[in-house]
Amino acid sequence: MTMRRLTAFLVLVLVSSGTAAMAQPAALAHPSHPPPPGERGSPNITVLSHLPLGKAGSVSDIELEQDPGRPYAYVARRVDEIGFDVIDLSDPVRARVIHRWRIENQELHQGGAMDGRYFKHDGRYYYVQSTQFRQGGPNSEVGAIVFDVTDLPESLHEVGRIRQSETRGGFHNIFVYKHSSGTPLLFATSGPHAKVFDLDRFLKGYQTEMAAVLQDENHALIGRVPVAQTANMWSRGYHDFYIGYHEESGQDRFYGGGGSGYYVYNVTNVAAPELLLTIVGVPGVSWGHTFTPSPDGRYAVGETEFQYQPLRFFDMKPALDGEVQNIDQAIGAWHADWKSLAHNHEVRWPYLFVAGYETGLSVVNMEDPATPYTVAYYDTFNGRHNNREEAMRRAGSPYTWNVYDGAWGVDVRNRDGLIVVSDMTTGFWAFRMDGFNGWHGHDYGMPNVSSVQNWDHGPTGR
Amino acid sequence: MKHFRLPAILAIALSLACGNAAWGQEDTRGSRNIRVAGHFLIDGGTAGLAVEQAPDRPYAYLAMRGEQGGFVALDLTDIASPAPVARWPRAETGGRDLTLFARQGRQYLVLATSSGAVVVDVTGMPDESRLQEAARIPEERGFRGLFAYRHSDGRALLLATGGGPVFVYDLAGVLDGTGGLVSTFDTPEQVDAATSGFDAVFAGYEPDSGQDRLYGAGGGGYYVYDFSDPANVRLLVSISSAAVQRGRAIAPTPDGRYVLTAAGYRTAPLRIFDLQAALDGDLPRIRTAVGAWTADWRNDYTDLQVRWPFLFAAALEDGMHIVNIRDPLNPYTDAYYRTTPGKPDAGLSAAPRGIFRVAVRNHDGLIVASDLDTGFWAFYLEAFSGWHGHAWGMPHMSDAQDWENGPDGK
Repeated sequence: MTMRRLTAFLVLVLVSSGTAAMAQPAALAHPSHPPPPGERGSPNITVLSHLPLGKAGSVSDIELEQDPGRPYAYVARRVDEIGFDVIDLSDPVRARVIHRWRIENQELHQGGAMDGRYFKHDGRYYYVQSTQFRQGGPNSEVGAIVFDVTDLPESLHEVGRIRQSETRGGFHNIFVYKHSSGTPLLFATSGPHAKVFDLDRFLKGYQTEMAAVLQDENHALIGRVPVAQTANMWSRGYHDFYIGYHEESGQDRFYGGGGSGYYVYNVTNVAAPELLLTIVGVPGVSWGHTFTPSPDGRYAVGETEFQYQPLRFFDMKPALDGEVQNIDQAIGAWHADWKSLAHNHEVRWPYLFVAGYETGLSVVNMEDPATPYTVAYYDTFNGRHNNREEAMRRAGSPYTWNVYDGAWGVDVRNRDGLIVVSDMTTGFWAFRMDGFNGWHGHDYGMPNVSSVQNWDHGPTGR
Repeated sequence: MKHFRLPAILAIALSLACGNAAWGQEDTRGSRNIRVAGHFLIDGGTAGLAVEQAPDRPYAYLAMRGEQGGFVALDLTDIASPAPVARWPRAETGGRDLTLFARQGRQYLVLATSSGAVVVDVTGMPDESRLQEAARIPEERGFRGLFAYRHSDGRALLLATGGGPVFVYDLAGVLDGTGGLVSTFDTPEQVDAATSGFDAVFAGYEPDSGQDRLYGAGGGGYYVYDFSDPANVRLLVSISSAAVQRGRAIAPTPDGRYVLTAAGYRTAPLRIFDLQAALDGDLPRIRTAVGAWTADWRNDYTDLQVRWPFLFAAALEDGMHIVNIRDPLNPYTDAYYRTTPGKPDAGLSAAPRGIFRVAVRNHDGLIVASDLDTGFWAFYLEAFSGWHGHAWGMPHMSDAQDWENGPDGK
């Protein structure tokens, strides 16, 4: 080999080896704020619609209907204007607000509307809006208001209010679930329990004007899921929960965040919940916020709503197999920005859709829960992170409270992959992600279990 | 012409290859402004670390982990070639931490073990044969953290922790065989065994108030005490952040206004708390950090040393980091060196590796660190050739004690 050939060979080998290293996928990282022009989102995210809805901080959670022919999203309004907005997504690139429901005498109320969920029963569609009103004003005993929304886009009307006078202050979060028994259930945070209401029984209580007047406010209350007691409880109640069918065991399972961490109960018999496992004593987790399992119920994502806290991924198998009663270590963690924190999320395995407050929408691949990574993002908030001057102005404290601003809620339409986000300050957003045109668990070798319910046939397909 | 052609082409190719290979990985072990002054590999790994401060005593000591126990003493006369000059015999079940003090012209080292602590007279360094055991402090639970403090009342005190109460010893009493125990006290808010007790303590003098203060990390978070009367400590501030069930390490700024804290679990950043409102009596406790810093949010921190405006942090897989804390609300990395090769990506439950302890020699700015696997490291930071608090408009307070004159010359 001549010197020239030797040189060329060495160059080829060295450059090739370097190129191979470059070809390995690099983790996608959210840009710091402000992002470079045109780079609020990753290239694989398309904004379909954006609707500013009002005063900064006035928006809370979001719910998206799933059935074809019902292209509606509901955005809860927590302050300034109290109620919810109905958004028509017939043309997702031209989303429009078609109804704005507001509670009567808004100015007298102290608190707002928080979480919203829809359900279908006996051929009609309903939307449940949770409320939290303090006792200094009216309706502090009201936890949720149920609306018949079957006649959208033309009209909607209130059906009734779920009241709990013994635990005033309303429901912070709710979850509607089609139980394996066939009953539509509402789970609600209330006092030291997740209270379970039979929505069929509730609706029947409002079929006559007299029935609505005479009924006991607990007539639909059929269960209470407790928080397992442990030492040093940070909180006595739940903050949020998810209920899903566990195919392998045939159980309806409750996944709650609150207390001192996270709790899983068998709620097949909602009158007698059975504790399956706890996740407490996890370093950094003194309280659970939102807790969502993978479709097979093996893994779960846990959020604890404090600054600097990542989303944590837990493997529940050792506890479900009976090897331990409590899980006290996460196997993985994820952050969009370590100075911020994530909020609500939705699992569509292998993706996790995150409403990340100041970081906006993130989509995370959690196929290996030990090493989750970002696959897409869009900065819906588009503001300074951890803005102390703004926090001082708004909250009177210069420290960290202003991190609780931005993307609050996220939802995903399974039939076509539409992603919607509610941002506390910038309003409603609709997105598409490249290569994600819908979700069905079986396509990923998983049970078809998500927050989306099969209202006609239930979780077992019956 | 041909003579230079091959090297030139190869240089370009090597440059491309090296750059590409490092893309997405670690491109350098340290920042441009940090220089490795010396390294000494110690088989078996090290944990605790102490460096003597006197210019004529160029010695560092490293506690040996696990089965080996005891400590190794290094002569740093030629910092480029740290020389092992003494090996203290294996302790009962491993050395854990160590600290240094001077009394009546003699130099001592205290080594924490699983059965308490042993005091070794190291005045005769570097002659190994002249090292001798001076005293023992028995404690059934053993000690994991030690801090030797020159109190403003003139006594040399030892603060010892093992996950339970703080034990305060008068080292004069320890040396003369009378025991020397002055006091013990536990965390103020005991709920159960898992959340009570201290893991680390620091003591420092605060000139404005004339108080000796003790800073503790442990069950429930962090605590600051008036330590002027070591037999009757008085709680001044509680710091309980919701994300910190148990504090791992704490170090105050020289003026005592801020504390820098580690939480002892992966994903926790270093948090900086402003104590002013609590010290002024405006707040009963501090709950919210004013600032935070991390080298990599996935990792953890095991030791903090403040030389205002710098924080020297032992960051395990991320190495030794130097953080500028002049604006505690916005701390930023000033320099770093990673002793663990490659990109640190240990995973949440991985056993810790890398830099475990860090110490600073005030008279010349030498930075020393112990690595759990690779032994002893010494560094110099550009434009940092020593530290005295007054040169920065601060009290002269750090973990380095003035054994002759007391805190801040008192």
